[in-house]
Amino acid sequence: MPSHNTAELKLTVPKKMISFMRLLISRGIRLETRPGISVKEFLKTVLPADENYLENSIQTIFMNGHAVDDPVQTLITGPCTIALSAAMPGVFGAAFRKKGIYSGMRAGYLQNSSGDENNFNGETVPVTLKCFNQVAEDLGNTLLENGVTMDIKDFENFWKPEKNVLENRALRAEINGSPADDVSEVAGLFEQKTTMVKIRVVAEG
Amino acid sequence: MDKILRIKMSPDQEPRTETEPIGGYAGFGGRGMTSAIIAKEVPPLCHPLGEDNKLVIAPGLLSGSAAAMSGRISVGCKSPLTGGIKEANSGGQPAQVLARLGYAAIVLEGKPADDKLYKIVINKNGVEILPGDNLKMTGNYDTVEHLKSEYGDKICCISIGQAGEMKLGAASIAFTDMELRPSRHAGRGGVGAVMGSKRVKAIVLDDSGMSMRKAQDPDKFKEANKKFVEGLRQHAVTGQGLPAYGTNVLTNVVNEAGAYPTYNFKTGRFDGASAISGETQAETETARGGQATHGCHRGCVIRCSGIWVDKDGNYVTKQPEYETVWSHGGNCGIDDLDAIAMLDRLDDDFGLDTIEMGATIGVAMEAGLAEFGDADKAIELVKEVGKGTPLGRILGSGAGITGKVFGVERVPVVKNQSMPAYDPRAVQGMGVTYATTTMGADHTAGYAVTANILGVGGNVDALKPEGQVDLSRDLQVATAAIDSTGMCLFIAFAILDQQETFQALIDMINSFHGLNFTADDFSDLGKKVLKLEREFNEQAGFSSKDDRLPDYFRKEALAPHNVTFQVSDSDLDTVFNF
Ligand code: SF4
Repeated sequence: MPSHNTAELKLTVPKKMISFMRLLISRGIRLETRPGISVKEFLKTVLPADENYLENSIQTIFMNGHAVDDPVQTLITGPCTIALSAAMPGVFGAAFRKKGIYSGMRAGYLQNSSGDENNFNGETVPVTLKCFNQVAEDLGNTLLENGVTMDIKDFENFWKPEKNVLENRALRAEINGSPADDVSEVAGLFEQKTTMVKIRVVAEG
Repeated sequence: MDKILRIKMSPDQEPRTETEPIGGYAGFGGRGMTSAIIAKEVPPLCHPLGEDNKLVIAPGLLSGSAAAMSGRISVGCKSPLTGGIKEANSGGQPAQVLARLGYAAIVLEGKPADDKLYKIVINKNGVEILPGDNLKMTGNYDTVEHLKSEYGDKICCISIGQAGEMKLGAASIAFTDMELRPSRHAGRGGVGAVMGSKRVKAIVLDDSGMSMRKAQDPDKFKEANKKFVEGLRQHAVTGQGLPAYGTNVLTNVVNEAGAYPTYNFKTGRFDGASAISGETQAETETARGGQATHGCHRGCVIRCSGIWVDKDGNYVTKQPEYETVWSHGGNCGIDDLDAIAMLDRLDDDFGLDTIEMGATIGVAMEAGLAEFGDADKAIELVKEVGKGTPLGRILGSGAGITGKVFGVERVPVVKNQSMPAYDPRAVQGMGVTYATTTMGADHTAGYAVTANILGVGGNVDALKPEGQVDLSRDLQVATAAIDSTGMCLFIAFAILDQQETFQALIDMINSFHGLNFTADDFSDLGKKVLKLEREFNEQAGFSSKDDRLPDYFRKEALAPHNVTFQVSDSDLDTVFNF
């Protein structure tokens, strides 16, 4: 059963639309972990990716907007947002790359910050994870198939501008376990008091 | 490619042409060629729109050959926007065609007495200067259509829109792409205004009957080109990220870093970034039947561009690149890709630099001419420029002038040129480049990332200001070197990480021209070009006081990281110590 503040949504979409649904992952999915875990360990636990992928394909990691040079040494000690990117162009890409020789181009602010609240006392730490560009392309399908939880506002911001496109595209929705007569009923979620939504996306065809 | 074509406009006689051997300019291409000619032939104190200024258009060293990525073209002059030396470069077909026609540069010089417009037609039979008044105050798209109907679809064109004719500071020069659309621009510094001051509306190029340029050592060249292409294809940036998402792949990430200038550089994050990201852009293009992967010229194997179509699948413009999506998007609080594409189309049609115009609209919004986020009003303001209304002429003169006219303090310019899409408080090394480059605030001045391979750079302390200065210097040198080959700067990513790809580039140039260039020669070439440019600017009246960011970058902390620009003036003054 869905919890009172998390709605559950299952979307069945035509296969060629899965790339569109992957855009959800760049808006941030909500996860939890134990405090004190390293960024590397956390990513190993939550991502459907092997060591080689974490090491070589994920070229830039941000924690609360700070580039992380050493994911093994950087610990998650409080609520935070972690964002992942594959290789990026330009001086910017080079400057924010893990341990890149151009890391000196970044601002002088502290890097490898370990989250906003070092004295966080909870048993689990909420982490918002964003996967951008090639990382979303590589890992997004599996994440979506397994189900991702996100802030309903972020989902609304994704859904509403594309409402017409989404509602015309042979999508089927199941809302809190019941099949919806029409996919347009998804918008009804935004009127409710729930704050989170767990979304599973199944591709067919 | 052993001759230079001079188009001489004059107050007392009909325009005429002169073709001369390349002479002392041999070995120069792209930015190296434009800056060498400007530094030698243009009096630094001349008026940029006067008869003494010259407009130089130069393909790269390997343009017109089978070399991959060799189709960038450089435009140089004394800039009416900055008052200093300028090189702006562009993609499109003209570099390849001009090189095949045998020209290492076209130089527009002098100034006619009256207001008549001209078009220049260059083909295997020679050069003709013809009246162009029928194209007066015509946008680039209609101009090219007109030229196509007259000269056929095998041509390519270099043209100016209304902004260039009005000699506005944000005026660009358009270069047609593979589909014969004027979608590629030498945007920065008001180069279109200089072409307008010479009263040249368009240059039509036709290389029918000409063959591809041949290498001196064809086998070695072929082998080097093959290795070079392999290197580009196997690198994650040039083989994967850029083709899939274009340069706009940066939106999400720069925003995440808190370095995305938003609401006219007020804050470093934009809530609407996801809606205008490269990921969303590519997805929308593909879903609508546009193209998310496309080259700006034949011979590009990275293909960072694309084609944007409207909801009904009709062509609007090429895929707006990161800088444009930022300038007209986040910088103005606009999160609608269709509106941004329309602004890009209008800029291309009127012949305007998209970075300068987006920054200008941001300043205009700050002045209260429109609300941040009001896309319709932004479109209306750009249309004012095309119409040439008094307000339009102010806006078309760039962010600096607009800020002055409307009394705005937060105007993000250096040497009167608008900053691009990275806040210098969050990427301080970029701030050093903005402040000190000879070009006015320009990201591409330090865009290349080749220092470790070029043997410049070495060990710098990443967190000290001196580190930022060293890095910026190295990047400016490396960029000047790559720009001087005429290759697309995006090759830099692959040659940073892959020694063999850099070697392949050197082998290509050497086997083509029968040279013995080394990595050190490359670095020296970059330094030489920068020195020429710096000397020109000094003689034009620039000094260290011009190598500064606007004051507010030191005073206003940028959210979310609350940082100010911290590199000291004395450190900035050491950038050119080489
Ligand atoms: S990589 Fe992009 S900018 Fe460079 S030549 Fe190709 S399409 Fe043009």
